[in-house]
Amino acid sequence: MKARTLAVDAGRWLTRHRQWGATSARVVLGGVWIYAGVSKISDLPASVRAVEAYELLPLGLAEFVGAALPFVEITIGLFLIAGFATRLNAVVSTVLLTAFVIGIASAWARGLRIDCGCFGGGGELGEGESPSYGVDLARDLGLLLLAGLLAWWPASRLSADEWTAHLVTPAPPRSRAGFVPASPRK
Amino acid sequence: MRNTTQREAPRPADSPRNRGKSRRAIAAQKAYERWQQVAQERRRRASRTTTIIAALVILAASLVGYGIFDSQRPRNFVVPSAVTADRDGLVIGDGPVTVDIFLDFLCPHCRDFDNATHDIIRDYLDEGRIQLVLHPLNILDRASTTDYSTRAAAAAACASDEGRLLEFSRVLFENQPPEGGAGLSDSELIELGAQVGLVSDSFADAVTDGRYWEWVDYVTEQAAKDGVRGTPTVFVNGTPIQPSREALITAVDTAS
Repeated sequence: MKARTLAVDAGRWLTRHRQWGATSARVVLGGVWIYAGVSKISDLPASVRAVEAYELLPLGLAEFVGAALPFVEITIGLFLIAGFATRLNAVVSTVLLTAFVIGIASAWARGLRIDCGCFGGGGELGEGESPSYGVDLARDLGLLLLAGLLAWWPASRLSADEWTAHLVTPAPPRSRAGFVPASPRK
Repeated sequence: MRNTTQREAPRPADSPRNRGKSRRAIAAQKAYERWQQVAQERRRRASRTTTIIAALVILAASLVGYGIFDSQRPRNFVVPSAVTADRDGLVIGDGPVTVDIFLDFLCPHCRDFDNATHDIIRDYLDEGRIQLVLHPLNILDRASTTDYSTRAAAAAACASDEGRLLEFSRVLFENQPPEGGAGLSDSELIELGAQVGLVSDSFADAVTDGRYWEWVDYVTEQAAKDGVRGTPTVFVNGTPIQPSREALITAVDTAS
């Protein structure tokens, strides 16, 4: 009972403070991107092989995707944590995660036995190892939901975007007639 | 009936809700509304600028990644003496049936396969029934702290130059280090070589210099392009087979 009340309270608090919810979404999503990118970046050929193992892209394109992916992941991870161009980075996250979900689901459907290569690794699994497509899909779908929400409501506290908006907003007009303007922040 | 005030002057400050307010209050409201518009426009422009900057940085990051990958691509590497036409495998024997084995010297299943088949492979070679092509890969480099897969595969290429690949490969599997550790050092690899008659300085030098490291990168890249997704992967005359003794015997018997 107590835990449920707590969850309900947390839910209400988040509704009331949606911008703080967006802040936590940014940190979670950005953290996962940075972790994923860092775990791949030290072995780019392995990252390329992980993409090739899906057998979905032509070889040249798989090379580009495999080599570029770790760098893109780290970049959007840093942008999200900084809260810089949040909407664009949330949209890019949505696109990437959708591609991952399609890739994993199709590998599953075709009966491939590969490691998703999500956090390094990749390629065919050895004897006695079994694919973890279900877990990978559930994780990516959860992140996809988070990215989608963030793309819809990108405004967040403690973000570079908030700070930029504050910087470019001119001072409000002074009123001599006792007119008190509402707070510039909605 | 429509309100005449609204039709003649549809300005927000003159709207009916301002009736009764002083001129000053109306002017202040107007100034405030104008300020709101300006502020909104400037925020929109700033957000567009940051979006463009971020998009360019993401694009640049992807190009940097591909650039780094491309610059690390094996080029102008030294190739061992006994290789296939594609330079992607070490050749032993010249029998009519071709057996391709893709392996990583750190992979336990490759050791199991070698334990199960090394004697019949030796017999097939002695009888001149097969041509064996070993493709030593480095896909498990990250499973050791010293890139053992690359170093062991390159050392196998050195052994191939000296004509003792089969013996050296066997002794590598017999002494396979566990995954997750440092693997065997170069001097330990040279000692293992000495156990199977690789006592020349040229072998030791080639191992120490890492002469075939880049070639191993090339072999691994080619294997991935040819659809090899793991190790051990075995082909008999180009057809993939299960990596087991029975499957190998059946496939070689059928092919010859």
